[in-house]
This record gives sequence, C-alpha cells and structure tokens, in this order.
Amino acid sequence: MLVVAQLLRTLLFGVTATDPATLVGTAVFIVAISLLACYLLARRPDRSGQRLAMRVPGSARASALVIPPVAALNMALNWRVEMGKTPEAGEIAPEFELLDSAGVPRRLSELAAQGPMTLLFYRGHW
Amino acid sequence: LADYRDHYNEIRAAGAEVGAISVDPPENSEPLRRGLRLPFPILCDTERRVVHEWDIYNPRERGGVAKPAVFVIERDRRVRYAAMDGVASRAPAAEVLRLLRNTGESQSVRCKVYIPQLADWLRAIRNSIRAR
Repeated sequence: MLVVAQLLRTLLFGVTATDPATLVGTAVFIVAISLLACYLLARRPDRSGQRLAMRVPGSARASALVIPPVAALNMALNWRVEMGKTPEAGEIAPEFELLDSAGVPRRLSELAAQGPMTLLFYRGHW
Repeated sequence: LADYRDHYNEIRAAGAEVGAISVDPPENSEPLRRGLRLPFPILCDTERRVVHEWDIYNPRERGGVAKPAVFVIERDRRVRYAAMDGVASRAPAAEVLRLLRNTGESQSVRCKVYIPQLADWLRAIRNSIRAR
C-alpha cells in the first residue's frame, strides 16, 4: 500500500500520499458505499415477493443513508482540526503557556527571550 | 534528558537555554527533575494541548504521550532546528551544540531512515503490554 502511495505521490497535488485524513476518509467512504449496497439489496423483493429484512421504520432507513457519509466527513474534519502541525525549520513556532514542574507559568516567547531555546519533548515517566 | 544535562554548561556557554516538555503532571516531573538533577525546567502539558498543536502526540502509548523531539527556537519564536523521530531516540545534545556554535542556517531533520535494533523491538513490545 505504501509503495502505491509512493507512486501516487507523483500524481497528487495538494494532498500528501500518506495523509491520515485522506486514508481514513477513503476507508470510511468505501464502508459507507458497501452499506448502501447492502441496503439496496435488502430492499429488493426476493422471488416470493417478500422483502428481506425490511421491517425498519422510515426514520431509521433515512438515518442509515445519512449517518455514514456525515460521520465520514465529520471524522475527516475532526482529524484535520485535532492534528496540529509540527513547526519546521524557518517557521514561527506557535506560542504556548504551560506550568513547569514547580508550578511556575512559562511562555515560549519568554523562554526564548534570552537566546535560542532548546526545547526537548520527551515521553515521560512510566 | 541526561544527555542534555551533561552538555548543559556548554549549551549555556553557547548562549542558549534548555527546557523539557512532557505530558506528565508535576507530581511525576518534579521527582524526575530532582532525581536526574536537571538544571532546566520541565513543562507539564497535562492537557496535551501543545503536543496536539505541534502534532507530536503519540496516542498509542500509555494514554497518549509526546513523541521524542528536539526544537531550537530563536528569540522571535522562529524555529532554527527541528528534529523529530517517531519512535525512540532523540537528536543528541552534541548535534544541537554544534548547530548553536556555528550559528548556521536553519535545518530540519525529519523522518530519518530508522532501522529498529533489538532493544527497540523489546521496548515496543513492553510498551504495547503496558498500554493496556
């Protein structure tokens, strides 16, 4: 899959080939389509003229059609919003204020005010 | 962290400061800071706000922790150096020190080709057991 992604990369513009939102969104989209296909098949009467498994109220049917695409869209959007962006060299790092372990509030701009600030992210205690 | 502690004086001599960030609460970070005798502060991103915003959040480990990463941030919050390695190790202090000394142009080290060693496999297995 990742090999294909590498190949596709040359064809894509604006989207990275391994973009998580796109990957997940596509997966959810495909699942939604197959659910829709199941739904349409289940609707069709079989030879005896009976509908298969269709004692579903209209509202539930409507939501079965509406919810999967909406959920897919929502998920893709949420992913975008929640995942920030790692600042790369040359960019401006986003400001933050956090308490240090002694309870003193520290702002990034103040920490970097004296000179270059080496910021170490580490995984923490376990 | 200990690596940066050992080079702390040299980093200070190069005109720079050091600070660490994790998602641990102060109750964990303060003993760690004392235990390792770190001369720099540890910031506590307990709400995981900054790690989210900087996209260095690893949700797969222990309810979500920060990935190991090193940034050198200039006075105007411009990033001079960014090193991020998804899995285990961190850019060594010596590398940052060299960068600080020759005040070279900015550079980004991302997604270096990473070949897991035996110890990394063991750590991964241990992490996945503890994540439960």
